[in-house]
Amino acid sequence: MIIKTDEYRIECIDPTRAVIIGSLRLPTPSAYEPHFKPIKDKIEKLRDPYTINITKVSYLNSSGITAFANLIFFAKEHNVPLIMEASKAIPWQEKTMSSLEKLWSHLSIQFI
Amino acid sequence: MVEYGNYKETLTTKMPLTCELKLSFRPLDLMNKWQRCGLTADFISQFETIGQSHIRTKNVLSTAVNELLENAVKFSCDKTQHAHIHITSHETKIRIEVTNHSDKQDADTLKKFLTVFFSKDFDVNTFFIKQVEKGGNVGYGEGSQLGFYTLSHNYQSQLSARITKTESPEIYKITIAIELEKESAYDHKN
Repeated sequence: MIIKTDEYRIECIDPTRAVIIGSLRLPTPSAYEPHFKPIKDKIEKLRDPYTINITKVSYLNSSGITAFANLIFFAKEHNVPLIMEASKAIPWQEKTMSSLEKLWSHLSIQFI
Repeated sequence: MVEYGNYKETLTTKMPLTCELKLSFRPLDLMNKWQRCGLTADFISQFETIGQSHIRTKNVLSTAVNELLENAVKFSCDKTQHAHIHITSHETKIRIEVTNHSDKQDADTLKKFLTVFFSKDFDVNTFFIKQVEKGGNVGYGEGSQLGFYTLSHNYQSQLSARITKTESPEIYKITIAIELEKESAYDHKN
């Protein structure tokens, strides 16, 4: 499944991997729910690690940080290790993803 | 009136002004056209960094303006009132001020948070985790706390605030200010 708007694109075709691109600035954490649901659907069916590539997410607001945290808690609940591929070239990613990494020992942030 | 952090506009006396931009919004119906927050943030960041290869400054500036503007829109009690953005650019720093009007309940919640945020007891290490565990969708003090924290903690910016009573006892004027280092200084520190 691919969710595409003028601001962002969420590619969720591979059963073990999603790619998010663009600027994520939705008004509330709950506004992210329908867009992240395909990712949750994939995680729910997995035992192996799931990877989310966010290296091309240029902006994320604080509602989006909470939404990502909710995804991490969802993976934790289903005991599916999560790998998030991030980029140090984008300022918000380095610090925020390092903070999110503290939420769960089976969340791995890989800067590529 | 109550102030938090180093609110006073000392930059203008310490560093010559190189550029200034003021924008006002009314009515604050941006919730219905939410992308206007990001559009405004991107415009300001491009305006401030035009002709420069300061990619990090541009990105951080857009992130900061968007976060402050989103808060101003969400927590303005009267959508017919103006919200204001005032940007001043100096040799090595940029100051952003966003002003809006909130009701007493939101102003009180914000005051409580800012008191803790600027206290010696503020626990940076556990704050982030507690906030995201709450899941968002809460009032001004709470709903904006994660944004203020990330701006302050992630981008080495100086956060400050001024909360002023208005003629109406139920309405408060709220100004949140942050000062960011420009790219050369930012990169030097990192």
